[in-house]
Amino acid sequence: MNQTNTSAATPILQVRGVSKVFGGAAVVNDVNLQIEAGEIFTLLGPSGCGKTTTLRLVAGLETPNGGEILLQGQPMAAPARGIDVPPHKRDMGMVFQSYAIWPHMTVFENVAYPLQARRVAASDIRKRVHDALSLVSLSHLADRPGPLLSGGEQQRVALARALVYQPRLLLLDEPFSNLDARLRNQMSIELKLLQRKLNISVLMVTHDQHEALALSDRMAVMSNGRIEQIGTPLELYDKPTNVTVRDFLGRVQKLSGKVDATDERAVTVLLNSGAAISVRATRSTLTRGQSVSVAIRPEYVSVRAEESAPGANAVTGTIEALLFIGDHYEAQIRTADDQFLVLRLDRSAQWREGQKLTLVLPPDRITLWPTDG
Amino acid sequence: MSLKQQLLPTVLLLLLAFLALYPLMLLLLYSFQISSPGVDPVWSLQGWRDAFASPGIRQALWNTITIAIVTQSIAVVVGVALAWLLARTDIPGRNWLETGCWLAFFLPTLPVLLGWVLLMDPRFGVLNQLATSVPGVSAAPFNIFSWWGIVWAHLVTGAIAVKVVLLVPAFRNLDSSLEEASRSCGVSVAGTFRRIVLPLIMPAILVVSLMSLVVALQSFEIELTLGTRARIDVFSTMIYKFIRSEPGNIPAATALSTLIVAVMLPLVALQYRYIQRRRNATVSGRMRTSVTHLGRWRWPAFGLVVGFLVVSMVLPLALLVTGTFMKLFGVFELENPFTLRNWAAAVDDSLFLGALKDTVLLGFGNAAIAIGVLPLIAYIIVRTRYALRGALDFLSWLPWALPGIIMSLGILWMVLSMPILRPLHATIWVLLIAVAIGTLTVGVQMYKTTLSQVRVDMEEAARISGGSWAYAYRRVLLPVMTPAMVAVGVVAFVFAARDVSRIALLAGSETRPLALLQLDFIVNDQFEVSAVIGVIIVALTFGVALVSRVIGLRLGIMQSN
Repeated sequence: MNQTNTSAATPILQVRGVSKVFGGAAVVNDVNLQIEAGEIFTLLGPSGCGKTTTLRLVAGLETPNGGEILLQGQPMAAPARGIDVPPHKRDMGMVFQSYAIWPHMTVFENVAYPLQARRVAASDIRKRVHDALSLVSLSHLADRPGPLLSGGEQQRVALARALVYQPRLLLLDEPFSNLDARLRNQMSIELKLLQRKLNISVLMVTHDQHEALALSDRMAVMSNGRIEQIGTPLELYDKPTNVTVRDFLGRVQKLSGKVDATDERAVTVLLNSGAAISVRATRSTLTRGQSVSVAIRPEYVSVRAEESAPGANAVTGTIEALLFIGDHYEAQIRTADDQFLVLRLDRSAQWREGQKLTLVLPPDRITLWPTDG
Repeated sequence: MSLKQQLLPTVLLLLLAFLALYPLMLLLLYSFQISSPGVDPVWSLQGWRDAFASPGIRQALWNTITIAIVTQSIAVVVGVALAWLLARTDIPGRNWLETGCWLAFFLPTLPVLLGWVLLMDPRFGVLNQLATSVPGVSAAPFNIFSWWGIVWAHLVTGAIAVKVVLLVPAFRNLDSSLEEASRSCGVSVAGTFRRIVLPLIMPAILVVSLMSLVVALQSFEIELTLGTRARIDVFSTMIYKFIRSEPGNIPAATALSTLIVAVMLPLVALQYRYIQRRRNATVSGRMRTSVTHLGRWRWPAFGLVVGFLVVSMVLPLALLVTGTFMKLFGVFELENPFTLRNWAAAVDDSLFLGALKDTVLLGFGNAAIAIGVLPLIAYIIVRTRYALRGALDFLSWLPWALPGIIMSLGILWMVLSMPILRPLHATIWVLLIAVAIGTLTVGVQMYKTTLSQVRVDMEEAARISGGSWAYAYRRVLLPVMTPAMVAVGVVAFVFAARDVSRIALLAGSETRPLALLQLDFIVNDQFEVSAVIGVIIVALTFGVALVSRVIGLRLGIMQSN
């Protein structure tokens, strides 16, 4: 069998229709995903959405109730066929949320442990542990006991321990949630560089959309045990296919109105104030008179400091509350028909509470979502 | 701290010093005098000479050590295995099994022991009768009245159960991602247990072992019951026999006790230091508590734990209850072996009602002290800046070092040597003092653990909201500590109801709680009546444990709201 050919063709990981039931409730429900060689794949979702359980199913720490999990085409878990490879035989590396650094061992011993388990020769172990530690720039701490490490150091040790045996897939469970904000940015960059350098495949779980968007090659948004959408970060951010993904990724501002006219190229929505909003991306299912949400990401709204004559896609409003954040302002704006928008205002102009504004919504940045009633 | 604030701690300190330290000093002092209490003292080394010259003393000390070490070595291995199964695996029915281990832990020693006498008596033991009915087996294979019989009796009467009960929480506090990290690194369940779980849990195992060893060295009633017939003495039975023989030799008993205390103190000091150091270790906030999947080993593991419960509880208790209805304890060959006579005899016994009353009084009295006084001591040690809190801590530890029988002797000396205390001699009040001192260490430790888990800012917030220290203690700290108080109260009650060694030398003929009455019947070979009393003690302790569990559950629900 030609190993190179098959591994180039088969994805690293295939998760097919996997479900997990805890106490009668499906925590993971018919999840399908695929990870190609050398990519970072992220599961993003609020806590309790099933993303960590999915990761643990892949690792073999939980047994699925249905579906199958394949690593490089080999079945790891397939309850229907009675297959359940225990975690220590799956050859995956995992970084735990708590980092799980064994407190009774030094940094060196922690990283050497998986090699000893694989009966690597002692001299070889020394070299490979050293390599792994220098990869995460921790060589100088090799003899330090586990409990005397800072959060960032613990994460590096956990990473070195998971990488030292060149696993087929690296699993990361909320890898940055125990770090402070500054360290989090730095470690994200380091992780991405490291992954590019080693060309290792990664499955990461996080509840932090910024981490997910910043690190992923592809990602999936999960909620209530199901995958809502899979795609590149840009696809998910700009073209969400459902409300959950739209609201979870980035911020969205919504105005409600009714469809006034549709044609092949545009839909026109009338707000209560009488302002007409035309949208380029069309939804053929919309009909005249239907209630819709006009959704737009706040960064696409252009704000003008004067109350100008009503123009195309323009909405007038008043600054109700103005918060100085540092490099920008956050403003809550009340529109003429008493709807609210929270927008970011830059410091290039003077703003004050009570000021009248004109907001322009570019037609190609708006999405329309039917609302009930 | 103002003088007024120091008043309560100082009173408690003096009280403890008087009750825990003074008897010990008397012991040392009076080991050098040979006249009877109350008469002018005659100073002499005769007591020491008698103690060392008595036949079998070396053998007794050797027995004490070997029995303790062999018992504890077996108990640690089995206890660690059972605790791990209950705390860290998906063993079926783990809640039920854990409750079972709690009950086994609470079970008084003597009733279980009686059950096992019925099973393993060389002549009429049920197991022996079953074994000899098998063709080819002629001699009875089991003899409870032997060295190994004593070891077995220790194992099934709490030596293992106490380890399970103490180690389950320790295993549970272990972050399971430490195990999972090892599994994902390519190490099997067994390898992970050996290389990760065991080293991490080792400090807790050491503390529990050291503690059990101290307790095992103090053991009394098992050796008295089983050893007398087998001619196996340990130091505690030697002391008892020095005093109870005719004529009694109190100086020799005192001298021997002093020697033992000298041996035990370093052990206890070691344990004390170890626990003090360990308290600094903190548990991280984020912790996974998932369990290891046993796979096809689930049911064999279940069988193992159930087997332990059967051997330590179900089987002996079943035979104990059967024994109460037998004309001749253990003899099933009679034409009609069953009778109600024993129950009638026990209940009609002139001593029985008094003994029941004494036991209930002792139990509730001890529980009241454990709930009313011990939290204050723990609070002073953990939360105040009282200058002598270290001394208070040490005094709360000291009784742990003292074998019950020696404490009993020290208190006896204290009562007899102080005219003001004389009227208390052989009353229930002396017994209450003895069992309360015996409960001191465990109770204060339990409260200290609870208190160190209550964040200081909760209390500070209460103080800032207005109100005195006492008000904050009552409104904030007490409610938080209520579950611990229920637990300590139950332990205190059970301890008082089952304790033999701490009161054996203090009780008079008028004040004999059920546990002593039972021991008297056993020593006089009246196993049938003794079994009846055993059943009553078991019912009493189980009843209290059960009621407290219900109260505890309701408190738990209140807290979660």
